[in-house]
Amino acid sequence: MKANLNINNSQKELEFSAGETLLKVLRANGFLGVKDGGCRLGECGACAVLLDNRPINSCTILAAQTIGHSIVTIESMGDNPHQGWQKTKGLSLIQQAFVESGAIQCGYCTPAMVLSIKSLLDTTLYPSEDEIRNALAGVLCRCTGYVKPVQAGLRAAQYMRGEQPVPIGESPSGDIFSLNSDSPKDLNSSDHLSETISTQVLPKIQIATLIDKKTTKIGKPSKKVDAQKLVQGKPAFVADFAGRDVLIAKVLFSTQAHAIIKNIDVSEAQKLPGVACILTHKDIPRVIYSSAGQSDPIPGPLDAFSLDHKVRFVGDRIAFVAAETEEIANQALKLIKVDYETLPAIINSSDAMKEGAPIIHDEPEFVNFADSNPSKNLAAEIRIDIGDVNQGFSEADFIFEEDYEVPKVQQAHIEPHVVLTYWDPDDRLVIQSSTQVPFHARRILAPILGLPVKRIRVIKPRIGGGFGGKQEVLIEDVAAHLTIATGKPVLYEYSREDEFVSSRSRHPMKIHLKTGVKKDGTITANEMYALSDTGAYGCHALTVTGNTGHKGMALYVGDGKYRQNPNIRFYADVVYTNTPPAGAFRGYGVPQGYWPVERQMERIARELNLDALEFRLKNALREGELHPFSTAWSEGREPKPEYILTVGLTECVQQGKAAIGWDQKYNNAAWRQIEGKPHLRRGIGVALVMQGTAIPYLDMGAASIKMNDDGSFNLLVGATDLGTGSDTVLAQMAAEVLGVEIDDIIVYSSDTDFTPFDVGAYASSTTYISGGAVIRAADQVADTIKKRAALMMEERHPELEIDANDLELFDGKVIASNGQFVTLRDVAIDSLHHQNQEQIMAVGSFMSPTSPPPFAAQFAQVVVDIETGQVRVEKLVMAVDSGVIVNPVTAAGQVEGGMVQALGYAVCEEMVYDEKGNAREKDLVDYHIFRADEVPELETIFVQTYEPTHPFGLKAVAEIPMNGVAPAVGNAILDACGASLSIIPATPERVWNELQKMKL
Amino acid sequence: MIQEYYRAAAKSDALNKVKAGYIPIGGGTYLSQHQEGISTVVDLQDLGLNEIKADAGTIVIGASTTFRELFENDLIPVSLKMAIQQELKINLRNLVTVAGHLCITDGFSIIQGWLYAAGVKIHIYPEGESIPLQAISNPKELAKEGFIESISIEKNTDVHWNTISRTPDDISLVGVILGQQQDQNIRVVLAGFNEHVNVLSPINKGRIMEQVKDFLLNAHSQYSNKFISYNYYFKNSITLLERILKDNFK
Ligand SMILES: Cc1cc2nc3c(=O)[nH]c(=O)nc-3n(C[C@H](O)[C@H](O)[C@H](O)COP(=O)(O)OP(=O)(O)OC[C@H]3O[C@@H](n4cnc5c(N)ncnc54)[C@H](O)[C@@H]3O)c2cc1C
Ligand code: FES
Ligand code: FES
Repeated sequence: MKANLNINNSQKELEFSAGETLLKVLRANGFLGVKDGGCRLGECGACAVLLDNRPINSCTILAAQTIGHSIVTIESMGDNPHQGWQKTKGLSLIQQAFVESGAIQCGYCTPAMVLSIKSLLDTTLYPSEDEIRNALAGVLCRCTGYVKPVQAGLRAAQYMRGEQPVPIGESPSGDIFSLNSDSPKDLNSSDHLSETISTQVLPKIQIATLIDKKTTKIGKPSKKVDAQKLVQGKPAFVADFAGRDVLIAKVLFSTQAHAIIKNIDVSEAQKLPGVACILTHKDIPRVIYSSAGQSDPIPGPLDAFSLDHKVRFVGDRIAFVAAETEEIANQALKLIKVDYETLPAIINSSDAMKEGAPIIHDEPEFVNFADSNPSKNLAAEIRIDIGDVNQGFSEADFIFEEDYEVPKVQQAHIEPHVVLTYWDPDDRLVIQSSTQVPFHARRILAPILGLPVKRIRVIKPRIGGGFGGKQEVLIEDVAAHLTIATGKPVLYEYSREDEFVSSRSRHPMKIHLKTGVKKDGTITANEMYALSDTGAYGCHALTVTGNTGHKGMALYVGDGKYRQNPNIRFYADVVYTNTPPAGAFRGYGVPQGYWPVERQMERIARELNLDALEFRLKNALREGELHPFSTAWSEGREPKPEYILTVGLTECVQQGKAAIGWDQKYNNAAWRQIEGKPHLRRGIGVALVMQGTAIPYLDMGAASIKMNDDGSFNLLVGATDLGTGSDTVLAQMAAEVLGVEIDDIIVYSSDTDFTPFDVGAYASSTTYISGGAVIRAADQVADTIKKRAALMMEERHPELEIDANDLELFDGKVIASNGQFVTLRDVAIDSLHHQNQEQIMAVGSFMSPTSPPPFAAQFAQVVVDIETGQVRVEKLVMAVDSGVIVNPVTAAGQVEGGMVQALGYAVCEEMVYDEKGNAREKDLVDYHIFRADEVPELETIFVQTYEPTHPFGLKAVAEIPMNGVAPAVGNAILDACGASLSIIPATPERVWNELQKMKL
Repeated sequence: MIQEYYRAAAKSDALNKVKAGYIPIGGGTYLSQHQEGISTVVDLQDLGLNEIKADAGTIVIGASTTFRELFENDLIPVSLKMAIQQELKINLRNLVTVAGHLCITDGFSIIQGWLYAAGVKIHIYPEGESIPLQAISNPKELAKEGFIESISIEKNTDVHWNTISRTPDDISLVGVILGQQQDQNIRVVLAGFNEHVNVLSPINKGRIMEQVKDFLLNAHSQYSNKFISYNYYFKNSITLLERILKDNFK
């Protein structure tokens, strides 16, 4: 049908069919700011537009229903204010507020959020925080924890009322939010607990005295460099680049958990008009590989094929289809007939190593890594002994032993996996992918596709969230095979259900933990055994599970003589099961470790009547000590000693406990009671945690910087900003060294043809490793600039002798100590056009021999219904030592978003399978992730240390927020009502079961 | 797949289409996604069926009224508004219609439970007859020879509910809704027990607990909540019921 739709106040005559949704019609007609969250069921809200000024999900309405109504998309909201001679209205006030407040991380949800706030502010300019949260509750955001979007809403209201909000970075009252406060106020009170959310987006920061105060860009809340385009909903994500002639790919997934494919009949499907190609295992080369996006050699078994004659989980691939439309592709899937020979399946990891268990990987091509053994269904075996645990246990006065369990959970980035492939005019295969690892993807895909690396170009545009889920070469091969087969561009996007049944997730584990303690609270030995379930393929099996021990078991070394010679054992078996594969998920094995470790620490403290915090700090790692695992294990490579130089844990505990009011609440029976609600009890809990910063001697990032005519610079990095703001902090570092403004640094990431190598975004490495590379490149560029500037100054003032080493780059100038200067523009013009012409540019690489751990104290306050077991989390406080904070707004965003993601792990997220391997959770209703109107109060505190191994003293921040929330919540539940959970999430029934046990 | 979309201009026009096999479409949140087996739809949005009116004893709500319109209307009882707020977030509230929700809902729905507990009556066009919701096993079936025109709630209806969930916005794992009109016609509705909300009525005021327990025991084989055990549901639905009774029906 042809009809007029009123879009953004203009009548558009569009052609669409009666059954087409508004989402489809809008995107097909170039309104690409309307995002497809893959659910297309009204669950995620990424596709929201305003219909008659009210937010609705455009995927849940037919375009035809909207005839006669007004439709508003993000495209109408505002433009970039700087467009040459063309005058534009600039960004709308709401968009400005979003940019300034740091409300945009990956930006995939941003257009929907901006429109939701517009709808609210059109009805009231004085919204309460609750009203803003309600307005945003229709849009899921997996990145921000909603703190900054809410603050953006309040800020926008201020702007629209004609008020001038406090500039970001300036403190309204010179209080503890002040960035430059030399002496942070005493936080040892809880009177700020009642503080309501404001438009002030900065976290509390404590400044270490060692920090170089002269920085002008480091430590400042710079706006994100990609915020402008994201807030306008500009085409920035992979699916936005698909042309009209693109073929749509779909994959036929297995309905069996373990089976041989005896026959596949694609003849009917092939006859369907519009089907371009169907590929089965018979059609493509059989190349074994691992989909884990890691450095060479992949530290895990090679056990996967693009397509195989055997399926190993419900959701495994059987056939690839490319068709002219999605509907035809889906119809073709239905017409493919598969004849299975069903094999016995392993669903429960405890069955994997039993006598007579079916063998999941019996393919002759299987390539072992380290101690993998497919005949025992073992993807990896880890045996780490530090000191002598048996001796340690014999010296203990008490032994504590317990079994724990952590579930499989999903990254649930709002942009699903998506890839676009095509041949370029030189017959090189271009793969545009939402990937965290473009360089690994190129290397891993080359043999699978039968192409040399040099004939593949991987481009990573913006990523709509990854959280480890995109550290996987998960779907690139599907589209690439189909492009090779058809010669045509192919787009392959996962639906939300595909994500649940066929993507990667966090390894579920069953863990036994044994701890020896002396009467005075000295830990004498710690022993953990983890049975880790890698699912059907061994992606990240060894490394994720190794990190459960490496970082989860490293924090508590013991005190006294044990401090120098800790007794730690970490054994793990990583087994195959017929369930969807696990993989990388923010935290990378460490959240699994801290659930048992910190639950056990709490039990010990309570049973031995020790102060919960002192007991922890007494046994925790301290500055100058050896990382206990550094000489024992290094992701399957040769371990080398690493000393820990900065530990801000004691201060984190101090600041965190003040913020949550620990001293007034912990173990306080009166505080636990809630007046008039005898069935409710309050409780408070803590967990101390650590993480790592990159993989030592392995992770390498590189950057190149090139100077332009006007004294601006192109910064090219292989690092992949997946919404974390890494492009911004890298620009801040370059700007700091080169003495320019952030917007004089034009960042481009990442493209295997143009940007230098980088391992990619994982292991909390980007700011530290890629940042190190940026600084090295910038230092070289600065040196060249200074040398040329010295000559230029001497030419202008022959009487002066200028030493280039005495020059400083600042404010767009090269300045001598006597005040003489030349501008960077002068230097650029001189170098490019006037004399001894050269392109001033440099490449820097950075690899670290150490992985300095960030530390944190995580606090939680909960209310438990002691009759039903229902838990509500009221407040989370995290005090983090991440070294120097390069950008307090983006760093706080990492902590806030991480805490909320971790809260899902604590209370509601889990993926469960029936005995046939069918998933219980296939959508975002059954798999609930937090919405804006239900998150607890969040508080972030940074305790800065100066990490000497990095030029700017920083450590990582991205992953550590995942580690402490679950155990802190578990400990708070214990404090509230005595229910001692060993399994998460803390669902009402689990808590209730524990409460029933207590009655016995 | 929907091949034809027709927007009716008058009720009679819509009725003709329904009789010709067209499927009525409300907010479209369900139908736009579940098109299999459906080729023609008739949109009721222009029929003025989104009015909320009240006379002395009854509130009449047009079938096409969205839950946002209900949420914002002063005539609507607060306990229903709270159920709406918990169950349908704003983007859905703006589209989902009362009739659509009655036809498409699962056993977890507190809104649906509320409507049953309140003893809502359905008015079908053209009969104009009022059919108690409780008398209808599948409201969708009603629309074979007509369409839902409105629903009505007695003003003197008192409905209270309580739920257990993993997080405040999550589906209600256990939901108990209790409604009564002027000390009689007590109804208990259980949500989360299986794929439909379960209505227990008539309930004898003096034997509420026993009747609910009897139901739970007798219906054990029909229990199908995939998230929690029968035992947990049994014990905790009773706890919620006790709380409702204690707080509201002393
Ligand atoms: C993210 C999400 C979460 C949800 N959560 C819940 C939940 O927690 N609990 C729950 O119960 N449901 C839930 N739903 C389902 C939702 O309530 C339905 O999508 C909605 O009720 C359909 O309403 P609609 O007006 O959009 O109906 P439509 O899609 O227009 O129609 C639905 C059905 O109603 C029929 N119909 C509509 N109007 C009439 C009429 N006047 N006369 C006769 N028949 C009519 C249609 O023919 C069709 O069969 C959820 C849906 C989404 C997308
Ligand atoms: S709500 Fe429309 S794509 Fe998720
Ligand atoms: S910023 Fe909201 S989903 Fe990423």
